[in-house]
Amino acid sequence: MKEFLKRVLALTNKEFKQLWRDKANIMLGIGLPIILIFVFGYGISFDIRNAKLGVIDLTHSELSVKLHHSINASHYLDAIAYPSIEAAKKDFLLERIEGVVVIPNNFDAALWHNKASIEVFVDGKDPNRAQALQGYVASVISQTYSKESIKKYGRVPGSIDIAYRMWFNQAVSSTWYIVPGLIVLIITLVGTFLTALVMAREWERGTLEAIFVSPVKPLEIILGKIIPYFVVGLLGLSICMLAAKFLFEIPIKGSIILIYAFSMLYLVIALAIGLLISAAVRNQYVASQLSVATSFLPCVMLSGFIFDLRNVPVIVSFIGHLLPSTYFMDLLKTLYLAGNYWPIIIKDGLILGVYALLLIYLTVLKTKKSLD
Amino acid sequence: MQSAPIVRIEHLSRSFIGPDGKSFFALNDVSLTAPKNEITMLVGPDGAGKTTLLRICAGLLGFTSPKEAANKVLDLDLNTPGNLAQVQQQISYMPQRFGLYEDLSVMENMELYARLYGLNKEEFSNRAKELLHMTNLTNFTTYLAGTLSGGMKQKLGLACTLLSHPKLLILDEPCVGVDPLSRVELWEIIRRNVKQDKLSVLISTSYLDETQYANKVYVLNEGMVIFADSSKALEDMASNKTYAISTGLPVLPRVLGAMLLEKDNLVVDAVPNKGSLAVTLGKDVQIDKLNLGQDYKVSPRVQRSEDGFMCVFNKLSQNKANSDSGISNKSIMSIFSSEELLNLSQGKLTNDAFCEDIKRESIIEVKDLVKNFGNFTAVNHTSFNVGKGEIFGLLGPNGAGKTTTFRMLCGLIPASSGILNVAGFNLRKARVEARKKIGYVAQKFSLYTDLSVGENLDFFAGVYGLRADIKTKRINEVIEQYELMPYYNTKTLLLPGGFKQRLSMAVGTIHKPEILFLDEPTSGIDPIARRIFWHQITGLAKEGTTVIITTHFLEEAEYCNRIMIQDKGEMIALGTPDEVRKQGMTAGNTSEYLSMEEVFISIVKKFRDKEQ
Repeated sequence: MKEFLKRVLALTNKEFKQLWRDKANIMLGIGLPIILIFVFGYGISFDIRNAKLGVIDLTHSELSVKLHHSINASHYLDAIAYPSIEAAKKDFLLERIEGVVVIPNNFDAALWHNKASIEVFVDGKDPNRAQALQGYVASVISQTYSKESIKKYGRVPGSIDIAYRMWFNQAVSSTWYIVPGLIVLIITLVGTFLTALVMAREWERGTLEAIFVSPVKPLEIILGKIIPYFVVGLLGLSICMLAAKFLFEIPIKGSIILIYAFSMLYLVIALAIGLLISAAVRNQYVASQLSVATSFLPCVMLSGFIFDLRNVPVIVSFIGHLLPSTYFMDLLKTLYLAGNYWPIIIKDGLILGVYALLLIYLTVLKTKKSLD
Repeated sequence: MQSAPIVRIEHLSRSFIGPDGKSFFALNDVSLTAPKNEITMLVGPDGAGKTTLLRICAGLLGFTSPKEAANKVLDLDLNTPGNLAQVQQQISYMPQRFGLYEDLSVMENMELYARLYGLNKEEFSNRAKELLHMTNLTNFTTYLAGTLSGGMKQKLGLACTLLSHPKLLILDEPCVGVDPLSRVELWEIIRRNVKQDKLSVLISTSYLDETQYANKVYVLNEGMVIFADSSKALEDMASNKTYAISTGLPVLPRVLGAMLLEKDNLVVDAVPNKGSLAVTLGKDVQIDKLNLGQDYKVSPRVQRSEDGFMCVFNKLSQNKANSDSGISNKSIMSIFSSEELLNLSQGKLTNDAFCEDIKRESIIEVKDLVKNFGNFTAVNHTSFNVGKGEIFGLLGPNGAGKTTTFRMLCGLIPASSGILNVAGFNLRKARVEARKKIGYVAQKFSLYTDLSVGENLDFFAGVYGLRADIKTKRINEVIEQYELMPYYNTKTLLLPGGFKQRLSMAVGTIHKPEILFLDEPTSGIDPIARRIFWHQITGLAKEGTTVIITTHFLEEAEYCNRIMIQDKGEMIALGTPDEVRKQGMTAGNTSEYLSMEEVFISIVKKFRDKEQ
């Protein structure tokens, strides 16, 4: 046992040194998460500036004019007045405006009956932008409304129902859960891609061949690879979570301990896939291609990161549900955004556990001290 | 009682799936015994099965053998599960490609191996000190392994494998890509450990002169053992058949040798050596059967292991009518007309290209050539000329600057300063024009393996911009010249090794270059393939092509008209092989006629002593 630990330590130590010296690996493990989170994070939050909205005021009351002006006054929005929905829709089709706000003709009267509604149409082709727009419109309307009615009546007469409509893609309801998605992506990248690459490099350079003829055991070689990249993966994960918290102020609804625990579980799965790929092909180029094609790309495309799996064809959804990353994505989204919702945690956690055991078993089976 | 051998292999076979999808025997019914505390050596052409056998002995590959056969390493049966781990604990293995971590330092590499073998701190520091001293690496412990020269890497690899005092050391061609000086050092280390540490060694090599260190030599060919005896017995295979022919005429030894090789089965081998031609006669051939003119002076010479090796293969090819092993008329292309053959054997000279001392106009002029990489001067104020039609050899230890010089000459990297004229063009200004006049054959044949022979030729002819009519003509010419017709439609991947070499030569010369650059074309190939290769080069030089070549095999310098030796960026010798030899002899204070390798070592040592 003591010998075992000594050898694992020697291999781990070696791997860390190599990792530190190869700046490309550091970039991939730590630099890339930072870049990704900035690209995705800032790309979404701050892209909307002076978005042009058509405003159709059918009431022309004091309040509706105030609402119209407040939309125009916002940094994020520009209001352009239209006489009718048809006129607005024409410009909308020509992409001169990004959305339309309709204040109906009985607006003030309906307020006192708590039946007031404002319709907001947004461009469903880009659901993420559409969602952001909705948010801005809603906050401008509700703030102006409460301020004005308190000034005038001393109280808020009734709530306004803001009805959102998507033009072009009415069914879309996906939310871009950036941070959970990024975490899955980064763990997959570090676990599978990086590990497959460094292991294949050892096959290629003949270093494994030399080490095989020594007292070292297959399990020790595996551990010597897993431990360092496990640490790098956790580092990437932590960077993501810190950025989410402090840069984007995204709250974590569920337990941080659970998030870490399941991330570790998924990291083991990703590492095992990486080791399996490199053991099968033993060539850096093919290993990198294979790991991108079998784990990184599906993780982006099929696990619900970009496309909601509820809205894809059955066959795509089926393939997506074969991937461990899908369950981890689901689990993380739940933990991050919904909280500790146990039925999903238990279901996805169990599935991930089975994947982990199966893949570790296969990896140990595949990594023999043999060139056959 | 004699103790059990350290390795005993009996009737062992191993097959693989070849590139054509068919299974073939890499090893076929091989038996081998390696006694304790001795050096057992495997030699043979590429693909003979040496590496496979070593890997099996290291427990890295499976194999098949009859039930009653015993296949044991350290007296442990390789077939018993669980034994492999025990074997691997007590032996060390150095694969052909270093197996070092290039991004770890010398010391870190050694530490890793020490810890994997479970050495404690004290054991390690003592042993490391001893081995670093032995390998002359003491001053380099903080250097990254990747920055070391080829020779130093191999010494470090050897040091790593010796750390644990293994009982058996398995080395797979440890001297490939290593310069002669480092090679001598490597062997000193190995032999010292055999003597002091009771080490047993199983080693493969492509340098036949290394058989002198072996207690027993196994010659492998096509997966079978075709010779197994002492190195003395290998030499004696050629006893009474070896002669030295000094031309006495201005005829170049390589030309005489090429002529003799083309004659039907008269000689087994003919290589330039020590200024004359070393000939090994075929079976039952008497020296007078060569029918040489009176000017040629023939004298018997002592047989070497290389001669014995060639005889072993000759015997093999005679036993098997259809075998293409060894040098035979089939593998040697004819480069002379029958008239030329006759004239040459009579000593009548018909072609200036056959002669040593003709006036040649310069085709390459180099003056004060300098190449700096940052603060490091790779080539320092070097000047030399190469004459038209010469074979010019660039020699030097690893890191001497010969690769840099070579690359500047063929326009692959720009020079820092100096004059560099190639084929009448200033290479520093008119690189593109000069490039049309030169051909380049890289160390690893740069052929498209999934294209056929014909497609490769067609592609490269197109790359060199040959016009359609000339293209067809040239393709037909090289196909005839290199006798590639039978393989015209064969995928390059499936070509036999020798024909890959031919094809890459055909590709390199398809545009009829005036100058052909060859970068270590013979590195890691076996003696037979090297003979065939030099025969082709002799043919090219005869046609007037200038050949610039780098090589690790110093005896090949004897094929060259002139050679240049570099060390640490400086040119330390320039001239015909004989002129350089004289320089080495005065340096070594010996009256003996030295081999090129001895000359080289003496010149480099002298230069380094002066430097210090």
